Amino acid sequence: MEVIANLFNGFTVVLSDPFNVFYLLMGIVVGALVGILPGIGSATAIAILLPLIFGKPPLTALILMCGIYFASTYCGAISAILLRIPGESNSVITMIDGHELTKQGRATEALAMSGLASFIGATIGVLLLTFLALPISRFALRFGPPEYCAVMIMALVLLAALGSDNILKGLISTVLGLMLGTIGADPAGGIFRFTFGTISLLDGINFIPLGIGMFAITDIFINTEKGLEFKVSKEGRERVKRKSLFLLIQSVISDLKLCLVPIIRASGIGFLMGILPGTGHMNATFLSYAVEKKISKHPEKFGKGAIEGVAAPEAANSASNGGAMITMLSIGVPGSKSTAMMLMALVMMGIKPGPLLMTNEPTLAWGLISSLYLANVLTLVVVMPFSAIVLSKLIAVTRYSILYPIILVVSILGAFSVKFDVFEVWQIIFFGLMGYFMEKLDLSVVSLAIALILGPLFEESLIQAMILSDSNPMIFITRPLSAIMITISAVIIASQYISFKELYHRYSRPSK
Amino acid sequence: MKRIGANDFGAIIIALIAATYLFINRKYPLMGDYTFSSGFYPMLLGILLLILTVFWFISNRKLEKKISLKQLFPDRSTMIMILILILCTSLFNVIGALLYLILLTGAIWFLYEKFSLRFSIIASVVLSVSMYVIFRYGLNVYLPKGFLPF
Repeated sequence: MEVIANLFNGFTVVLSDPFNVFYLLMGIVVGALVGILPGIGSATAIAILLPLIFGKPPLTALILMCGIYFASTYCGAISAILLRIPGESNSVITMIDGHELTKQGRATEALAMSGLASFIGATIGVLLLTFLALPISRFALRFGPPEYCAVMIMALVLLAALGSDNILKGLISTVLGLMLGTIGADPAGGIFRFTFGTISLLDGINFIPLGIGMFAITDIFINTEKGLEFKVSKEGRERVKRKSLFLLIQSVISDLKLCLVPIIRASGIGFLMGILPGTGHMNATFLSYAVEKKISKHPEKFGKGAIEGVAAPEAANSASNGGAMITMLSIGVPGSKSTAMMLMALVMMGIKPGPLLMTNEPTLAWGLISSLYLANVLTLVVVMPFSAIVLSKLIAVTRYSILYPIILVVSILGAFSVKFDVFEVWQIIFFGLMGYFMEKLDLSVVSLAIALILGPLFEESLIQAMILSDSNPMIFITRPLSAIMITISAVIIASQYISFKELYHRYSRPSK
Repeated sequence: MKRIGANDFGAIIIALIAATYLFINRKYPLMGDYTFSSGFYPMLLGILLLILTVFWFISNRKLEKKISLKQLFPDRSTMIMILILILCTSLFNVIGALLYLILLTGAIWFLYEKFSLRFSIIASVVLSVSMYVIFRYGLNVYLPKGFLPF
């Protein structure tokens, strides 16, 4: 009851000043614009707006940042679904089925489901944050380097299994991604590896140029080779022309009924993964996708336009924001780059996150939590209808020969804006070609892209675990949480070659 | 000798990449004072990739239908697109971002898509200027000027 009363007070504080709602809307608009453009992430947007935040009351500043954070998370999915340009790394998994739905003329349904799943996932995440902040943060503290390493191993194995129908090719793509992740400074000794004396490679390969190259540019090469006239298929365009607003709403409601249970499941997974600093969003999205694919009665539809393939990762991604907030507020450890920026802003304003924040600054803490709710609602109401109805129809009617140069320009500028270096533009061409050949060989570019992000984290946690255990690999087995995750990884690999169901039936039959 | 298919070619190329990676990695130390050093983890990855490509090569033998090597490479029109992209990007810092974008999009629409010169010029200028303004002045992304004053 006290929690509900505090939450109500938080809403009162936020809504009592009309400027707070204005700043929230401003944050949402800015977040939407930056989320849709590749290269400019929510962390960069918060950084750009930091000078505006100076001089404002702390709560107002946090409200602005919440708006940016939520809107950019949702809008990263828009460019991924419509144009196959992942606005952020979190959008990669959504893109797999989302873009296929666009090609089938169901972009509206995909965008609407993305918005609704984000909303429900974020609501569940924020609710869990409200009621479970302290006990969950204590659980998160039990995760040490061996547990992180084991989570990474599990994630990489899932990635290999998920990325391709052939696990061998999935593993090859994953290892290639891990190898790309070794470029730059190593976490052990700080030695620069595989940089060939190039300054631009000193801090490694950034995800944005790789993601833009391997998804957007590769798509352009393949589609122009096919001589594609429209991004959306002929049947899809007919579907878009035929469907009235009423029929669209009906379609969205029936999709929502289908996806409600997957959304709730994915939100739980997302929230738990979001608690783990640094890994949460990535692992949340493809873990939830993998679970839904495994549980689904029609797993063959995943990767070809399954609406659950959009709903689950989006719900998990949004719910993980709640988890990331827990670690930022309760133990002062940022769960992502954006929460790192928020943490920096809090410290600059003289506020110290930690276990005492809720007791020392209740107005601020509960005001922030209620801002998350409001940002969630306003993003759905303001951004989603425009993107789902207007943008999706625009994509369906625009000729591909007009569309892809626009995609190219946005991609080039987005890649350049990462480090203000033309080397990033060369990277997108290189990775575009690499992705082209990989697609022809049926090697998963998704596995490679995600392995690039997870690789450095995996290596770092592996080295820390080895230092902790005096180079004894048994630490992964002796620690219970780690042992469980390693076992799950082994089972996943084995399940690709052995049908456990068949084994059970064979050995459970009574002998004659 | 049987003709190699696209998958075999891919396996060979990736094996070469793994071998080159291991060759470059030999200069990084394997062990440090307390545990593994910079070269250990890449060494594991390189060896793993080599093993996987051997398995891939073996599994290709069992394939009933093979993709021909010719299908792996881009056709003439895609090569033209790639060439336009490479040539224009090599001029990026010289002519500046705005002219680069106009040149790139204009070349694609005129040379590759065979639109009229008038349409290509107007469309490329409108697109490039609007994107330039959004990124340069809206998002404070400092794009190279080249020989233009803006």
